[in-house]
Amino acid sequence: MRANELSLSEAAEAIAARTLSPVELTEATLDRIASEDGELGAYVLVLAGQARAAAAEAEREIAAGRYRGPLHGIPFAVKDLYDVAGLPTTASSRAREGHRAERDSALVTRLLDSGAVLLGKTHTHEFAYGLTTPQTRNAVQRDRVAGGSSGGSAVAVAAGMASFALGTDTGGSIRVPAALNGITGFKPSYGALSLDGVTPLSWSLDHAGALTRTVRDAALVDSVLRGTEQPAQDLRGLRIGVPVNYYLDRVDASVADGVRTAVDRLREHGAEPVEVELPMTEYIHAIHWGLMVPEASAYHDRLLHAAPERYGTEVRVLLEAGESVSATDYLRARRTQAVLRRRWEQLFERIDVLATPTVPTGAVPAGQHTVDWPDGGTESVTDAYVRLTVPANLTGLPALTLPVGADRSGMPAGLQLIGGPGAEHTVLDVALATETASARTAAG
Amino acid sequence: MDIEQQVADTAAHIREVLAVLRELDLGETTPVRTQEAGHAGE
Repeated sequence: MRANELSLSEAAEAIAARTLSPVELTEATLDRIASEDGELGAYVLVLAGQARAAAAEAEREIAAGRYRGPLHGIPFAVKDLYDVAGLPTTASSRAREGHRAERDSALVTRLLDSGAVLLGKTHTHEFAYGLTTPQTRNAVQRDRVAGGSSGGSAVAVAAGMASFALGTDTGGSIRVPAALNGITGFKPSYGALSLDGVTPLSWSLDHAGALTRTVRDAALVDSVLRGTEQPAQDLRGLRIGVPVNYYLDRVDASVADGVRTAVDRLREHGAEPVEVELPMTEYIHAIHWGLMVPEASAYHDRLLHAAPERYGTEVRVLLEAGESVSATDYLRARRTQAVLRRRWEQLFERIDVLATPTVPTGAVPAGQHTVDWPDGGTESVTDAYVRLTVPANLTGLPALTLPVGADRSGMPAGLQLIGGPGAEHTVLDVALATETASARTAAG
Repeated sequence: MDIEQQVADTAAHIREVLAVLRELDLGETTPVRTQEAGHAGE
């Protein structure tokens, strides 16, 4: 096994034990980028020289006994919405030509302070306003969509071109591409991670988070980003909410089976499934649009009017159309969000975590714009992908996806675990137990 | 289809999506508390 194929946790243990050098790990990862990224298109910019220097510095520090912790010497990537001093934050858009960030975003600062090695910046769907990231190919099957908007980060991690990566999530933009590429994505609660120095899509809904190959890796990155302890696995008595509505509609049967199997395994480990009916689901789509669409148009107001031709057509149309949303419609969406949030938080008086599919179907072929469902209905790919993840953005609740099962065409799918207010540790506990149980089953 | 027509169609679709929110009687509900999301300047 090459060093870049190790999980972050495995690499961190080996570096701490001085059986793996940060230089060796970084070189193996850069080799992988050189051989694969021409086709995969995950990176906007690779900082090979800077990464080599940082890895050498990490190696010197560790050899001198100045080990900073589990991310010391670990190579990572950031979605190109995060500012890095001296570099352009392109947001994968021509509209950002000539941009140069003056200082590092808060999370980049935190990771660099922890000794992690920055490899480069990854593609986003233009300004994070979409769910496919057309510049990037799926890591599992290259003629399929990467998912988005953190598509470059997901593919970089899934393909061994980074040990972990930062993303952002406004409607599912960490969890959707993670699920479509067979990896883990974790979005802590709204406001739990700083977005200082990150280009916004929607101030009310934006969340930061990380994409990793395993849940254990997600817990490790979270422990550094939020400065908290890693969770312990004990599921006895934990109540797992199993939805009886919304999350069952228009979901690929194989994907639903994977979620049911995962919940069964959790029950075998002492958790108690509890059926729950989710409130106000008929308003989810409208609240999402009522908040995101006008906020995105407001953020882009000046540039959109100065140089509309610099935006891609899809995003330009959304931004211009968003200018027509009235202030009363926007405030109605915000007030309804307040009610929805309260009602969903009340659910967590009866359960500890909600278990759902992350995406209703796996990665579709690139260029496919709609999904046809057995009930005769058709849904846009974007609406389908965001449908199951966006409630955790509207409510601000912590949510994680981990790989579980596959859709009918064999593409990876995900189990989404949503926790109550501030219950990041519960989400990670249940996810770790699920991952461990899956590994035991796979080992037979 | 030209950009103007696409914008008009999308704006009409957004209005249609948002119309469902008018069904609710929100009473005295105030907008969700603005939390510190960590965006610069907030």
